[in-house]
Amino acid sequence: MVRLAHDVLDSQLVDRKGRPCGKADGIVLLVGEHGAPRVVALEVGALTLARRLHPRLSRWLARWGRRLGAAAPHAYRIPWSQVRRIDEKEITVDIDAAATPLWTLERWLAERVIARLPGGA
Amino acid sequence: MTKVFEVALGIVTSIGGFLEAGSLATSAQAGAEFGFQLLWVIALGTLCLIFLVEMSGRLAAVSHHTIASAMRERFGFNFFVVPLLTVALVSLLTLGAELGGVCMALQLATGVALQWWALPVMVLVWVLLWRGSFGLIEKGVSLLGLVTVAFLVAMFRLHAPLGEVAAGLVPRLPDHDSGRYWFLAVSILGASLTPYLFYFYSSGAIEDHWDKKDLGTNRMVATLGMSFGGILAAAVLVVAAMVFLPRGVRIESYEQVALMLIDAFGHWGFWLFVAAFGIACLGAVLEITLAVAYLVAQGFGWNWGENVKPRDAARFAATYTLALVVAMLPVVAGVDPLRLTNVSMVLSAASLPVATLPFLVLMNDPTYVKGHANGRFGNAVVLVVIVLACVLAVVSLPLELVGG
Repeated sequence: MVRLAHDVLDSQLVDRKGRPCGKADGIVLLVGEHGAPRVVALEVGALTLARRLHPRLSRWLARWGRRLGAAAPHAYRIPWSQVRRIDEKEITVDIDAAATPLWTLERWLAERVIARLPGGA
Repeated sequence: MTKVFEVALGIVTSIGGFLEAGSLATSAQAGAEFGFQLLWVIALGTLCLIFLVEMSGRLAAVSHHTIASAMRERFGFNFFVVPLLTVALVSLLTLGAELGGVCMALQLATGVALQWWALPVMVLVWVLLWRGSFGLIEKGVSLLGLVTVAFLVAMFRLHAPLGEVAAGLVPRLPDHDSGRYWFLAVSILGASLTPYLFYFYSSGAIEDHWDKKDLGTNRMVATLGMSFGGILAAAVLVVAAMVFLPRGVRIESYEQVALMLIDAFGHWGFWLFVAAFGIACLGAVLEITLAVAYLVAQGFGWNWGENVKPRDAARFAATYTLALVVAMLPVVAGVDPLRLTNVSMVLSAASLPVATLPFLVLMNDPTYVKGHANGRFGNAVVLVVIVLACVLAVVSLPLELVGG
């Protein structure tokens, strides 16, 4: 049994290479025509997080963040089928975080800022 | 044998890392104005700190969570955002005070005004963080910090009246200036219990890969390291009481504090103070800068660590860089470092319930600490001290700002 709010929401996510790649900011449920709601994805990103704090905050963030281009705040969905393991410490998901939008800010900082500083390359 | 060495090293690092601008300034002020009367507050603060640090290490060793990640997971982000912002802001302010302390030490040594030192100090700290490993920063700087033992030596060279000193350990009401007395009391509590300390400690335990085997070491290091550290803070108070009180000096600036070791060591006392003060503040600067980056990175679930290259934890490295820049602003703007220290210590005390109560809940939740939950005594001590500190802070800060 998985308790969604207790064991999943806001838990640490780790990709298949063991890299921390954000936390479960949201849980996406699909309510079908018949039958119980079904968990379809985890949602990760500043937009999701901001929406939980206040919907207006999320709208502001989306509007102002668009100027950042590729590094704009996002709400990325990881299909529930990619969830491999849920334990007390973290949730392991079968993705390569560096190939997803989860890594945009990290990559942008590493390539554009840190690599240009002495000792950063 | 390695175990003994590990414990010894841990204790030595805690002692070397204990004194910083906050505890030094508040202890010196308390001694100068109230003699040995406020010693009991140092004892109380240190006792509470022992419990908090031990809990922080225990949480990390048993659950492999830092305080920040466990708190976010247990209470959800919408709650966690409050301690996150509170601890980050108070830590940035404290960081500013400690940076001011390093610059002040350089001003005392060279005569060049402290604003000019802001940028070089920032670059030095940044390079140490950028290139150094966690072990280098934690152990190296703390070993240098052992120079602060000079305050204890000074206490004996001045032949402190140990009977009267011991009497100061008994809590009492002030015989004069009660507003100022309680303001200094809460400043001392804030300086002993700055939240970054125990938040940082759990991250350090994760960096050093602690597990249940380390619980014994953790208990020893927390108890002995923090006790000896507290004794150093007490020695500062005692020396200040013996040097400043008879001369009627009220501490208004670090230039005055800098003279406190001259009675004990002569001319060299000044340089000893400058070295001890500068190194102690530098150590605190490194720890707090890392603490802020740990807090933010863990709060958002980013990859973090001082033992990986900056490019492999880019957001983490960017956060500590930004923290340094922001914290330096008040120093560059010319805010008096002693005033900044006093204000940040009281705000530390005021923030304690927010920073500590959810942590206390975690330490009693078997989901996280399994069979290693807190005892009743530990819970009671922490609860009583943080509530006391917060109430005193909320009452005394407005009074001090209006009256001071």
